[in-house]
Parts: sequence; structure tokens; C-alpha cells
Amino acid sequence: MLNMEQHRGSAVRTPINGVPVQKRSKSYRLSYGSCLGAASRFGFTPTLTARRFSTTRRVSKLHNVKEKINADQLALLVKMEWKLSYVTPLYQFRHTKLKSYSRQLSVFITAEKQQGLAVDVDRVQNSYRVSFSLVHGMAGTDDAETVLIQVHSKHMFAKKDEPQKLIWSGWLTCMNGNSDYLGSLPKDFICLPLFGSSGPEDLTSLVQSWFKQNFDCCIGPLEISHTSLQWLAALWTNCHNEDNIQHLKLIWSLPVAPPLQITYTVDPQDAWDLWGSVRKGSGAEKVREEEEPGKIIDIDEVMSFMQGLNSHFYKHFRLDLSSGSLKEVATSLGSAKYNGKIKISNSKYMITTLTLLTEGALLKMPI
Amino acid sequence: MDDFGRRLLQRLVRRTPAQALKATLGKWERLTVAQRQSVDFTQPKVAVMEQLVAIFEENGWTVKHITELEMINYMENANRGMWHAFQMTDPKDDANAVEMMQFKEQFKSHLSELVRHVSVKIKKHTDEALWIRIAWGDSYSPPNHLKPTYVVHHLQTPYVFVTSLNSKQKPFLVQALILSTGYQGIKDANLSGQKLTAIRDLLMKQYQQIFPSKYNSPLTEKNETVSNPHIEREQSEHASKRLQMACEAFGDGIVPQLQTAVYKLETKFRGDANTNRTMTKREGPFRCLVKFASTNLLESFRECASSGIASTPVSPLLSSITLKGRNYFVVTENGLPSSQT
Amino acid sequence: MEGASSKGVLSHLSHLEVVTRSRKCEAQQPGRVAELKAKAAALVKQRDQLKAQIQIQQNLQKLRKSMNKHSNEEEEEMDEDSENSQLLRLMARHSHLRDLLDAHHLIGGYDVIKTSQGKGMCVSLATAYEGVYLDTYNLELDLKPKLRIRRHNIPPFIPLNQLAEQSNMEANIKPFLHLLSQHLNAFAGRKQQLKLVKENHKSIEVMESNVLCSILVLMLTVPRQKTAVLCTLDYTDQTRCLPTNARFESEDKELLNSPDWKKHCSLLKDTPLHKALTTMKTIGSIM
Repeated sequence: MLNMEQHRGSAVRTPINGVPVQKRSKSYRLSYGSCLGAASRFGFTPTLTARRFSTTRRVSKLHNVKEKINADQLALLVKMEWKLSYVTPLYQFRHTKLKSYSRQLSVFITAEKQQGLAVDVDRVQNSYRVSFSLVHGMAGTDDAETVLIQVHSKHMFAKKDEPQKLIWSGWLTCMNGNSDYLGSLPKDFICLPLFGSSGPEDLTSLVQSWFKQNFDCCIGPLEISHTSLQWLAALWTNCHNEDNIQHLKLIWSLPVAPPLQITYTVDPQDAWDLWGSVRKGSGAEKVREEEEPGKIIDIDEVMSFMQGLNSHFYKHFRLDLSSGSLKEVATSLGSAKYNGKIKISNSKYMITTLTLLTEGALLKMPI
Repeated sequence: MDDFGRRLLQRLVRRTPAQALKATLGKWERLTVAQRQSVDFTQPKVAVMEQLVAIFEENGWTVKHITELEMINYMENANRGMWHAFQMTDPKDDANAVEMMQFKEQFKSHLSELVRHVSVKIKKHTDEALWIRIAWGDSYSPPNHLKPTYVVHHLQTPYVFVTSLNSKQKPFLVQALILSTGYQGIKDANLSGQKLTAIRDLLMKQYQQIFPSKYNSPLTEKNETVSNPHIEREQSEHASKRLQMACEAFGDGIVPQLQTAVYKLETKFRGDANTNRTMTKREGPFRCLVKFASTNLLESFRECASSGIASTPVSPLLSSITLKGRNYFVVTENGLPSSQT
Repeated sequence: MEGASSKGVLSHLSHLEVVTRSRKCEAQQPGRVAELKAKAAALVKQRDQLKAQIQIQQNLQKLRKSMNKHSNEEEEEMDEDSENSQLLRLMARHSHLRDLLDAHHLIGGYDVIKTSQGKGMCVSLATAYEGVYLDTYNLELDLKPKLRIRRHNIPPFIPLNQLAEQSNMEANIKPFLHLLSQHLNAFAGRKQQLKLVKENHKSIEVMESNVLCSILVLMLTVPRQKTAVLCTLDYTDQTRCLPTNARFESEDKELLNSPDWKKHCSLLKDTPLHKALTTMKTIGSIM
């Protein structure tokens, strides 16, 4: 409801692009959920289930991601912790116009920052430089290409010859988005539902309001749900035989006063063994499966994995973790927090993680 | 005042909130009332600092006097840094008869025999605790007053609380303590925390413990009255039983404010034997580290147990915190209480 | 004029002085009267309170007696006003139960209850000094597989484990409880004495004490000469609340050799501290 109102608000405020209001509201009805809902009418899945997460996941192995993606861009993606937001489809966003967007956003930020500042205008105008760039080699078949945004700035009183520093970065991506949904979007809409940002929050909100004004979209905070965190715990543990995950760390919070935080750190080998024991089929079958390009992981396996961890914990402390909520999952491959912060430390598993998060973003979008 | 004295004083002023600083100066007997009143604590720290420097220089006070002030300050604001508890073992017959003057003399002389350059100050707090400030040096360097170790000990008890002690200094402190208290050994008590008061109260049993009683415990009266007696009588009975057990395990009323407890588990996997046969039959331990954290851990645990998030009777692992006065445990297959399996 | 001058100015002045002085006295008188009246009123009030207390005590005694004779019969005599009599009855019952409890403790009984379906027990040890109940300590014990202390709230300066070993607790718990109770009661007694000294003898400074209250150094002052006397009390036997050793230190050696102060030394060893100090004060040895 709140998001709908936000949308209405932005529609009133942005008459610049001259899109009729009717058209916009139509676009909203055509959200992810309703699209899958439509599918249900053909008798595939009931709407309710469709609104949930995928129950199985293919672990794609993009070892060559390093070769495909520009090294600097990849280094940036892997270096930072990103704060996530969801973005509704962008109206009339063109990947070909990135240069002009860079200029526009620079002007916008400078103008906004200038408000209330009684300083030398020239200096302020020079102090923000925005660059939009494409990240090639990440997108799946139906996905729009990922866009990277960087804001450089010079300190207000910096010397003339001092180089500008990167002070904010963000990206918009769609990783293996649901093809039914993507296909159902009208031509003028580009779907890049996952937005990550890293840098001062005032800049994040400036960039977001620029997007809202220019592409008539809604942007809101994206939490990483309990289920997503459990998925990540399993997906990362699943990688242990290729890349040592060092540890599997789960942070729970229990709703008592004062709140109780429990950090449960499992030895990587033991976590891997437990994961192996809950995978369906025996070890021998798994080897054969290994030869297939994609390995399927079922949500039941994820749940039994978590169940196993929880019951080992319960047998010792007689404390029921499921009465609390999972707040954070971390391995050496990355960390994810309930409040929507993610760090992907190993590029090899970036695609899998982003796919999961894209799905979360699509689900979070208002109907 | 030399540069070093200035630095030491500056650090003290910077680290202490204005009000606490005022209280500290109030407790320091060297200042005259006029001097004390002349310091204006509402002004910025830099200015307070300059005023204090002026007073110190006027009186010819040196590092020695600053450390005095620092000690008073620490005694009044003890909940800083990380405190570790040690427990002395094997008391000799005269351990209970050691008195303060004797301890003071012995400790100082033993420590200066062990360490070439060392500065020791001992002061008694109002709660009978002895506070010891040690600035360490070695054969080549004078005592470093910027990194003093603080030790708190109640005579006649086996416990010693220590903060900012490095592993190089530890053997010397241990030796001096043993020699001057009449004990023969010392061990890590596996209890640490930011609040000295919390670890002290836990070990000295200075908090309200609840014991099983014949009579209806007053605890049950605290429970809210039940609106529907027929349906909920049984439930409220369960609830009051849970509360009783929670308080027996974690204390009643205001409990020592511990902030963490850590368990290193090296036990066999204990999941559900039906769904996880492979794992439960597996050889070798399932290694994990569990850390509980809260602003008041015992209070959180008490509520877990009384609300049913934790099953009662409380797990021996959790009740060991108060029972044994520890917050770090290594649990192996042998060490696990039998009721766990 | 002349007559006055002949008798002298001085005598006239002194006459005037006498007159003014007597006037001042007259003026002071009413203030003094009011003071005395207030004192009288306070004393009357105190007397009435004491009378009332005696009345209550007598009633209680009566009630207690009749309670002992026929515990179930209703009392008919007390009908002054029902609220008071009910309260009195409760008080009588309370004092009766307390006497029973005292008797129970006196004959060596302990408050023990079974816990965890007979696998353990919980003992509570009450401490008292001069008829005043002080802290109660608890011990939770496991009975199986062997007798073992599970949990307690006894402060660490009471050597619990040592006492358990010393009295062979595993074989028989009673001697252990007796010994522990002795330690706890002695500690409570020493602590209470120190508290009373601090409360009632403000002129005496406590120079040193410890958590166990086993060492006590007091600063006493001799009136007139204001000589300081340091009094050190050693409570080496921790099952007692009287010191094993008492000694004085002062610059005035002669004073300490006087028979009075020799007596004080033995007085301190035989009498509770706060009482001994009161005696020394009344004799005039100390302030």
C-alpha cells in the first residue's frame, strides 16, 4: 500500500516525460505476482505458491565469469558490501543513452547538493562526476544488461590537481529473471529489479529520486528474507568442495527482552558433511549428477540442512532457534544480512547469489 | 610538567566525560576546595585540560600524581576495558589471615624483585576491594604509565580480576599474587566481560539466587493474573513452574550484567536420529562455536526459559554460567553432562 | 544629682547592669519553659507508647498461653475491637511459630526439602545474632550418585570445600552442616557487630576491615589528652564472633600499661565489640 502511494506521489511530481498516468498504472498491474497468477489460470500453479520463492535452484557454474566481465568492474562488485533495494520496471530506459544519463545525474546531484549551501557555485558544480557504464557478460538470456553507476567527487577544499575520488557506487541488475514475467512486459519497460548501493545514504537517495523522476519507477528497501538467508547458507556450503568456505556463520536473534543474539559458527568440513547427508540420493548418484552442467538443489534439502543445524543446537542448549529469526549468514564466499546488505566475496558464485536476490526483488515489488 | 605528564593527563581528560571527571577531582584529596571550584567543566575539554595543567604546575605535581588521579577515576568507572577473572587454588593455612598492610608490602616487594622497573600503587576501595595499578617496564625501559594493568582483589577470596594484562607480564603478576596471598596456584576462571561489577557479583555470589522452597514462591505472585481460570489454570501452573526454574538457573531480580557466553562444542552430531542417521552415526565431533550475546545475558536467558523459548529444566550448559561462574566453555564428548543424551 | 554623683558613677553602672541582666533572664525564661514543656510532652508520649507496648505484650502472653492450652477453642475475652484483636492473634501466632523455629534450630534441626524427586535436597541455613535474624544461606545438594554440593549462595570467603572435606561431608552431612552453620553465624555476628559499631560509635574510626570481618583495626581517642589508640582485633577462629586476640598501640606507653587498659584488652576478648566499646566509653577511657 505504501509503495502504491509513493508511486502516485512520484507520478504527480514528474510530468516532465509526459507519460499518461493511465499507462503507468497499467504497468503496475502487470507485476511479477500477477503475471505468475495469470499462469495459474492455465492450471500450472496456484497464485499463492507462485508468489513464493522457487522451490528448486540450479547451481550454475560460471567459472568463466572472470573472463567475461571487465576486471575493474568485477573487482568493484566483489570488494564492497551493497545495500539492496528493489526497483519496478523502468519506463523508457535506454542502455544506449548512458552517456547522457551520466550528465543528467551529475547536474541533478550537484543542484540538489547546492541547495542550502552558500558557497562558491563553480567549485560545487565541479565537485560531482557521475558515470554510467554497462557490465557485459553477466546477464542471462532474457535479462537486461547490468548498469553500473559511479559517483566521483573532489573534497570541497581539495587542491586543483588532486584527482576525484570514488565516493558512491551502485548498480542495477536482473539476473535470470523469470522469463514469463520479463516477456510479458510492454516494450517500453526495462526490468532491472535489483539495485545495490554503497556510499553515503544521502547520495543513494538522490540517485534513487533521479531514477524515480526520470523512469517513473518505484524504489524501496529490499530485505533479504529468512528463506533467502537459508538458501544462501545452503548454496554457499554447497561450494565447499571447490572453494573452502572457512566457516559457516549464522546469526540469529531471539525475541526476548533484552534481545538475545546467537552466533552459530560451524566448522566448514562438518557443515559440508551435514549438507552431504541431507542431499537426496546417495553419494554415488551425486557423482553422476556432478557431471551434468547444472546441479539442482531442492528447498527440502535446504530445510533439512537448517533443521539439522537447529536440532544439534537444541540438543545442547534446549533453546529453539526457530522461535527467533535468522539475521545474517556468512562464509568466506560472502555475507548476507536481513537488513538487505550483501557482500559477495567470490566472483565464482556471484551469479547464483544475484539470481536469488533478483527473485527476491521481483517478489518485493508492489502489485 | 613534562611532555609525558601532559600526555598522560590529556588522555585522562579526553577519555572521561566531564561529569565523571568532576567527581574524580572531588574524590582526590590533594585539591583544595578553591582549586576544585576554579575548574569550569562546562567549557570544552581543551580548556579544562589547560586549567588542570596550570593547577598541576602550580603545585609541582608530576606523573605520580596524575596516576593517582587516574586510579581514582578507574575505581569509580570500572566498567571499561575487558576484565578477566582468575582463581587462586590450594590455599595454605594462613591464606585467610592475610591482612592488607602485609599484602601491600609483600606484593610490592615480590613484584619489584621479579621485574626490574615496575611501579605499583595499591588502594582500597569502599567495598573492601584492593585495587592495584601496575605500570610495567623492563631492564631497559622505565614503567610505561600509558598502559597500566589494573588488578582487583578481595582479600580472603580466591578471585582476582585483571584488565589490560599481556601474556609477557602475566607470569610475573601470577607469581607475585601467589606469594603474597598464601595460595599455591592460580588458574584462568574462564569468565570475562566489560563489566567488572558483573563478574565480581557472579563469583562473589552477590546477587539474588532462588532456591527450591516448600512454600509457594513469591515469584508466582509476580505473574499476571489469568483472565480465564478454567482454561488457563493448568497453563499458569506451568508458567509459574517455568519461571521458578528460570530464576533458579539465572537468578532473580537484578542479575549480574554479563554480555556474552561462548561455547566451543566438540561433541558428536546430535540431530534427529531418524532423519539424519548418517550424521548421528558419523565418527568424530561436529565442531562449532556458539556465542550468545545480549546487553544483559542472564536476563535474556531467564526470559527465554520463563517464556518457553528455552525448554525447562534449563540445559546444564546454560545453567553452568551461574553455577560455575564461567562464560567460556569447551564442551567435549566426555565433559558433556549425561542428561544431554 | 548631687547624691548620685557622691555615691559614684561606677556603683550606679553596676546597679544598672544587674537590672538588665535580670531582664534578660526574664526574657529567656519563656523559651526555656517551652523547651521543657515539649520535652515533657515527648516523654508522656513515650510513656504512653511503652504502656501500649506492655499492654500488647501482656495480651500476647495471654493469647499464647491460651493457645498452648486449647489451640482450637475460640477466644472470647478479646473483643475490644475486632481489627486489633485479629492483628494481635496473628502476632501471637507469629511469635509462637518463631519460638518453635528457634527451638527447632536449637536442637540441631535444619530446614531441608527434597528436590528433583528425591535426587537432591536443598538446605537453608539461617543466621542470627543477639536474637536478630540475619542473612539466610542456601545449599542445593545432589544425593546421587554421591553427596555433592550443586549450588549455593555462600560467599567465597567462607571455605566451603575445605569445610566439606574437613567434616567428611560425603559420609555424614550433619557435622558438615553444623560446622558450616557455625562459620556462617560467626561471620554474621562479626558483621553485625561492625555494623553496630559504625552506627553507634561515630567517634570511633574503622581503619581497616575485610570482607570476612576477621581483621578489624579501630582508631580510639582518649578524652582530654586526645591520645590516639590503635586497637587491632584478630578473629583467627572463624567459628567465633569474639576476637582471639586484641591489642592496643599508642605513643603513650604508660597509658597502655595502666590497669584500666589491661582490663579493656580482656574485655574486648570476652564481650561483643559494640558493648565493650560502650563500657569503655562510660568509664571514660575513650571518647
